[in-house]
Amino acid sequence: MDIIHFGAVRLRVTGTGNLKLRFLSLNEVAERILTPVVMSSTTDKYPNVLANFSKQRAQLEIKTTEIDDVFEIGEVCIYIKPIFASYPQ
Amino acid sequence: MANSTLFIDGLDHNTADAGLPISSLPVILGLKGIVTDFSIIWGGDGLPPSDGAISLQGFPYPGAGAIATGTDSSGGIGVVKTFAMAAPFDDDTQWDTSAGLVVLTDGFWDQDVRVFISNITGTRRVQIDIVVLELSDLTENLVDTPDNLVDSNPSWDLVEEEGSVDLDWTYDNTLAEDPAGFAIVREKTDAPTEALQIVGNVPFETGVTDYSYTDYFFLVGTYSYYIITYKYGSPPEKSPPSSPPIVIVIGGDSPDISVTSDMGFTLEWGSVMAFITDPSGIYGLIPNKTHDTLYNRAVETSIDVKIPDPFVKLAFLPEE
Repeated sequence: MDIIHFGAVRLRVTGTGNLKLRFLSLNEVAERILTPVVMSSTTDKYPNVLANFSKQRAQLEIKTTEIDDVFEIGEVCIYIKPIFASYPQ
Repeated sequence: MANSTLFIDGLDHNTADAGLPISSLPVILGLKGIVTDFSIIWGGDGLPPSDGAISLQGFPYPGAGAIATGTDSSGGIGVVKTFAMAAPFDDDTQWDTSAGLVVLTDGFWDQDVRVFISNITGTRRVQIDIVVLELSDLTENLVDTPDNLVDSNPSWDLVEEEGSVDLDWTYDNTLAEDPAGFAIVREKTDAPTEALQIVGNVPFETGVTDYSYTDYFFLVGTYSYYIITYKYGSPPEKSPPSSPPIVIVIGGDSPDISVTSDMGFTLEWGSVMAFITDPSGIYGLIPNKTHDTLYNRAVETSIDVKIPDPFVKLAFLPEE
């Protein structure tokens, strides 16, 4: 399985507070915390958050942690690129 | 040690205009018990004033020794604890007073717990979280007491520097009291002492007579255990009988000590834990709903609460 480089996350999101993003590898062995997105209730922008996470598979966690923070996501686009064919034997 | 919040009031209680106190907020409805944790989150405009106060109250008025230190801002009627507001508190700061919380004692634990907020000016929002251990009707323990409470295999792990003890007991439920479960209460009586606290909970099961619980601790010494039955939803008895403790002495590789004891109440509590009442386990997803609703099936009421730390985890990429 190719090793993938997760390079960026683009979102269509509205809400209040800070939207916290985190990449997780399988079994949450590794993680990469991304720069939080400051949300607003109305916006005409798609924030693009850079990442640098190289794994064979990863998942993106999106959450808020402060009281009264809410988020509504319309689109998530994750930019990836295969970089290696496999880990060394 | 499990910890569950029994009731959360996630509503925004907007204050009255300047100079007028909020009327009493009966946050806990129909419950009697011990307040184990109390936190309050303030929001709104600017800092909370320094002359306001929040009181936790139970009824009736307790006797000497049941009132905690602090300012009595409610006229002295059944005050458990009053917390004076003191600047600075930033907006939306969580104010956790559990470190100084007083638990209810003689003649106090069987009444309503309420929150009163007074002398708050300006526009405020407040969210109040109260954790309450609801006590139970325990006539069962007077006549149908468990037999042969035994500690088995207390041990001390020299490598992990941790001790453990297995508590085993039987409960016949002869009067069909059907308790919700058994609270395991522990106290360390030799130095360094540890205050009385509930360290675990074992649910009661119909038809099951043998129960066990393993407790872990990090200090050698003398521990006293009480195992207490409890039920939800019914007013507790006043002044239930206390029972002798199960005394466990742990000293390195100490041998087993077997003792027998009746089960019952102790009226002195340190920190306690709370239990979910009438848990359901059903969670429904409703589009566009941004809060949770807790339902009390016994009395058909509901409380809207905020969802703590909502999150989404996408599927693993790339797909296989």
